[in-house]
Amino acid sequence: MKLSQATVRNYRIHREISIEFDPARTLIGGPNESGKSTFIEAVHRGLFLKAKGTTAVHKAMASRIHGSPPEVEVAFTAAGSHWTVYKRFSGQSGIARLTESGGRTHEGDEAEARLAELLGLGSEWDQRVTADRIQARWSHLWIWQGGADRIPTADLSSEHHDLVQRLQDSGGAAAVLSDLDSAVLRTVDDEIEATFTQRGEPKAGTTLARARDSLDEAEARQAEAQARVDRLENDIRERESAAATAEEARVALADAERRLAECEAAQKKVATLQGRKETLDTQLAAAEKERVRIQEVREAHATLGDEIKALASDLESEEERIDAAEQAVNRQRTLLEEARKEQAEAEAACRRTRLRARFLTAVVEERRQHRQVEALEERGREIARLRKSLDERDAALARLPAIDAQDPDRFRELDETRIRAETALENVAARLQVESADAPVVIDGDPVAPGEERTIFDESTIAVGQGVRIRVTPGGGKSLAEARQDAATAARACREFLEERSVPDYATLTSLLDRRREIARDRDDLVRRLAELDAAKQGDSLAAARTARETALAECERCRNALEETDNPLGDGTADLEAAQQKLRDEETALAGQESAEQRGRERAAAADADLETARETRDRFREERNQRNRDREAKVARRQQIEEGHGDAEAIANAVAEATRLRDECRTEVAAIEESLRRLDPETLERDQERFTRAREVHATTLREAETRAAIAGDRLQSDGSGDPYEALEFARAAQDAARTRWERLQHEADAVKLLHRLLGQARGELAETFSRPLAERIDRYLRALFGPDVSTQVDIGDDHISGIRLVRRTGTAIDYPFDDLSGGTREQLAGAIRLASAELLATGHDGSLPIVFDDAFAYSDPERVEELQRMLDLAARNGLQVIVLTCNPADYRSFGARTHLIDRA
Amino acid sequence: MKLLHTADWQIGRPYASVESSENRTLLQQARIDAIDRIAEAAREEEVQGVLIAGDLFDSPTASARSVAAACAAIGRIPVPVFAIPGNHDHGGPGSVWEQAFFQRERDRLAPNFFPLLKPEPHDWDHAVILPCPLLRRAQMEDPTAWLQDPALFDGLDPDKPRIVLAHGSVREFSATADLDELDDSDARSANRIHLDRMPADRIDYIALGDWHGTFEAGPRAWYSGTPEPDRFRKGGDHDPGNVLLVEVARGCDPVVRKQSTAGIRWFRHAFSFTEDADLEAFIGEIDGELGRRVQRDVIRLELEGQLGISATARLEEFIESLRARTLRVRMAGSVALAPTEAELDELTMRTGDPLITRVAGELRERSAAEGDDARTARRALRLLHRYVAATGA
Repeated sequence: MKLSQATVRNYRIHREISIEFDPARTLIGGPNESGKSTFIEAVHRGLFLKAKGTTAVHKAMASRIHGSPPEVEVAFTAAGSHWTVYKRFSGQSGIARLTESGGRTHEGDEAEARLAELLGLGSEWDQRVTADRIQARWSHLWIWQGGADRIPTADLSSEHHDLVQRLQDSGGAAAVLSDLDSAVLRTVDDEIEATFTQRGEPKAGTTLARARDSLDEAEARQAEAQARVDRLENDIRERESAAATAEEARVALADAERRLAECEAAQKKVATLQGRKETLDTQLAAAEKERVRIQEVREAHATLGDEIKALASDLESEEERIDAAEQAVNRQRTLLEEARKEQAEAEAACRRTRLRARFLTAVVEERRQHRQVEALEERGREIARLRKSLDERDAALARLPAIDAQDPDRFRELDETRIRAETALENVAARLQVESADAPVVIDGDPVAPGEERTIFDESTIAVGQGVRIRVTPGGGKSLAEARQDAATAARACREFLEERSVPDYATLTSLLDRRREIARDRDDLVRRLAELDAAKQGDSLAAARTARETALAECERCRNALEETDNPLGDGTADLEAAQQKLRDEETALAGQESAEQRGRERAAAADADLETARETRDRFREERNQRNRDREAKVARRQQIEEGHGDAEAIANAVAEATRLRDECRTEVAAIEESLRRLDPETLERDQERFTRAREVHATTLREAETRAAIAGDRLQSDGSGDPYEALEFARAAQDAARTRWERLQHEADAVKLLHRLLGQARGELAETFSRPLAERIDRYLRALFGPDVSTQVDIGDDHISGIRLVRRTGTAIDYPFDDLSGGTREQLAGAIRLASAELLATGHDGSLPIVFDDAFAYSDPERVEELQRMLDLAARNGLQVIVLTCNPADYRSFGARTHLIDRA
Repeated sequence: MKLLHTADWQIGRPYASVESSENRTLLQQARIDAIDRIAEAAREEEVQGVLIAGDLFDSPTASARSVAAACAAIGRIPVPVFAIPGNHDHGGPGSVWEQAFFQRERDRLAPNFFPLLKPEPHDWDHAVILPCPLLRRAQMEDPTAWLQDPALFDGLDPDKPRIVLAHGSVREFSATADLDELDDSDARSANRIHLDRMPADRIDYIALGDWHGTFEAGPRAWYSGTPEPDRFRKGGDHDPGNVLLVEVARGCDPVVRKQSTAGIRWFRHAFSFTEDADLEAFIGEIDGELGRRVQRDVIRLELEGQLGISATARLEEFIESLRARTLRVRMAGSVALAPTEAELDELTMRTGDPLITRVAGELRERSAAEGDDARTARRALRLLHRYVAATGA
């Protein structure tokens, strides 16, 4: 079926509009509100709305601008013929006319019926008209504004029967399930549904689940029965083991009791022996004590005898020693007296020599002072002489003019000043000489002839001839008067200097100055010599020397008086200093020897004194020792006397010792015999053994009691009333478990078989469905290839009355995991377009291989780039026989579509 | 003198693996009935006494119910009955022999019954009985060891025959014999009886128990076997379901005669299926074996080979009917489910049913292999076959 041409009159905004359709590609362009959509809606109504009618749909078609009722005329090809349908929508008087080219014309209801037949409409043709229902007719081919992004499964449901028919025609007939297939499928589905949960587990209450439960129960019962048998066997073992233990304990108990009895008998014997030993131990101790005592007495007696004897012998030798000491004392006393005498003599000699030395010392002093006095008197005379010369020199100086050493220099300076002033005066004059003249030369009115010379001192005028006057100023400007003044002043200064010093000239000045210097030198020499003689102190020194001499003289007198006549070293005479000094040195030498002799004597006397004292002490100590020893001897004698009074003499004491020793030895022998017996009995081990056997007896008795109790308890448990046999019960439980397991396994195998069958049926069914829908899917793929590439293919599920699912699948078999709702609007438009075009292609085979497909500004989400891709799809559809009609407000977007284009201006 | 030697009555055997309780009762009752046949034999043969060589009871803790049944039956035997505990009903603490209820039932119902619980000579009017009781299930020492003391025999009555009553094995069964004949693994190494160590010339008969087939174990030594079979025979070399009638005198060889007392028949039947048609042959064989007997047999079916889906279903139906006619059908081996080509074609060649065809093809492929997955696939095929048949019908 193809649209050829359509004319619309008085339809809403359209007065009249007519468009011819291209058999393949038609583009109707025009701005918004230009009436494109109204036009195509009118064409749709012309085909699908009955002309007679007063519904809201009919009323909405009427034009408010143009008075006449709407008219639509559509020319098309269908069922191998050309047709023209004309409809006038004028309410109940609406007109419908269908004319077959070269054939008859149908009017009214007949025309409507025939038209519906040509368009392939079914029962819906007779439905009551509503806007939605009208809009839904051919909605799989007629895409209204903005509707292109809807996946058209619902739109296609009215065509489902046709679609299925077309798919069967395309080779899918062999893939359609038979009634038997479906029945078997249902049976298996039902079986699975009844037996298994969603997760594949057996449902509660099913045979399989009951079998599983029975097996669990049987296993539990078997475990219970086994446990009962185990308990029984355990009790038997317990009973047997307890009986065996009891028997062992009985034997061990008897053994322990026998050993204990033996042990106790031995211990009784030990007690008796130990009692006897205690008595003997006491006796032995007493005997030993007595023996020791008497033995000690014996030893003391003997010791005393020996000591007394020894002491007597000691006393004799001590008396001898005392005598010797007494003699030593006497010797020492004599030695001391001798030493003391010698010492006194040495002291007297020293005294005498010292007095002589003192005397000589005084003489020497006196002589020395005497010489000093004489020297000092001589120096006084020299000083007076020097002082007189000094006075003479001072007077000579006072007579010479007062000239100092700087005066010659000062005069030379003044004289040089004078010479310079005179030289300056000389230099102020200018010398003039007239060498030749052709005119008279006059200097200050004085004419000068050629060859004449003149000296000019002052400012002068030189006239040469009548016309020449020359002013000359000699000396650079300084006046001659000044120079003369300076020379006079300098000469006066020189004169005054010499007059002040009363010298006539410079030569006299210098000779006088030399004379003064000579006298001054002499004077200085005198002053120095006076200082050397210590002139200032000379008087004091002299007085001191005289006093010292007086003192020395007095000392001499004193010493001389003290000296005996014979002892005066100088005799009655005197001596000079040197002789006296010599004598003094001799005496001092003698004194040194005498003093050391005196010292030696003193030391010897002290040593003799000490020796005497030592000898006395030795003697006294010996005496004291002898006295002590004598007292000891007397004490010991008294003690021996005392012993003999108590115990008799030495023999009696020896007899007593022998008796005591015998008594002691008797006791000791008996004790040793008892100890040997005890050692053999080993009481400690006996005691431990007794403890051990007692303990063993207790342990065995306890073990026996416990074992008997255990045996009794186990025996009680083993008592049976015969109401059941645990072994039999176990056998039943095992058999029941085996049966339950066999049954469960058999059912499980059956269930596995059903599951396998179910799975394979499902799988096969899917494969068949895919085979069936493959022509449609392949067509969709062709359109989508541009969109998703060659690796993506489509799977379509065809349900009983609609397309139940469309999936995109990769070639690898994995589904692409995005639902259509998540795709962008543009992608969805492409996808929906592909599905529409593909199904339209299939459906077209029932319509002479072609159907019109109308997109009324449908691609709301597609940008120009995507529209380009869409055009590729549309072009492919046109190539495959579809009549593509696109309405757009952007015809420029479809420039490359190559369609027959109509532009509608705003009406 | 003449006596009846029996053993291994195993009264109270639970037959726990028999699912039907009625059948269990029948099997248990059969063992009691055997005692009555023994009583009848004792009467007819005029024996002086009956010797039970162990395992009178199936369990050391036999229930009062078993004890009552056994005592009542023993009470019906007209002569004294002597028994020792065997490995199944060994003595010792907690054993049935020591229980008060046992004493009561014995006193009340079987005054002619004398359990011999100690290894010491029992001087009976007609013979000296030398009992070798077991006091535990598995005893490492030879229970007849006490008989190896030569001094023992000096004190015995020189004129009375000496009869040993013992329970255990006389050889290493593990190496030589059929393990099925032994009760449990304990018996293989424990409870060994060394016949050669006993003073042969001082003993006149050794009555043995434990071995369920009748069997001459050595000079003067016999296993009587159990009087009532309780397991499937394997091979023909031994022979359960008998008692021995023994004529014995001091210093003479005994004269031993076997007498059948069996009630229930236990038999094996082996069959291998190679095609579905074999099924009819198999059914024919079993029908022939059973005849019109009902609940008198215990069968062990040793089946192998394979059958198609519907043949398998028919085999299962037949086995179900066998279960009703016998006391127990024990299945050994297995018949593989192998759909026939026709059955497979029926599922895989359905052009009008693409789903079934497809799935059946897949299952056919999977079931061609070995292992659990293949078995599951075959089961699934069988299921599919069943569903298709049910829905198609």
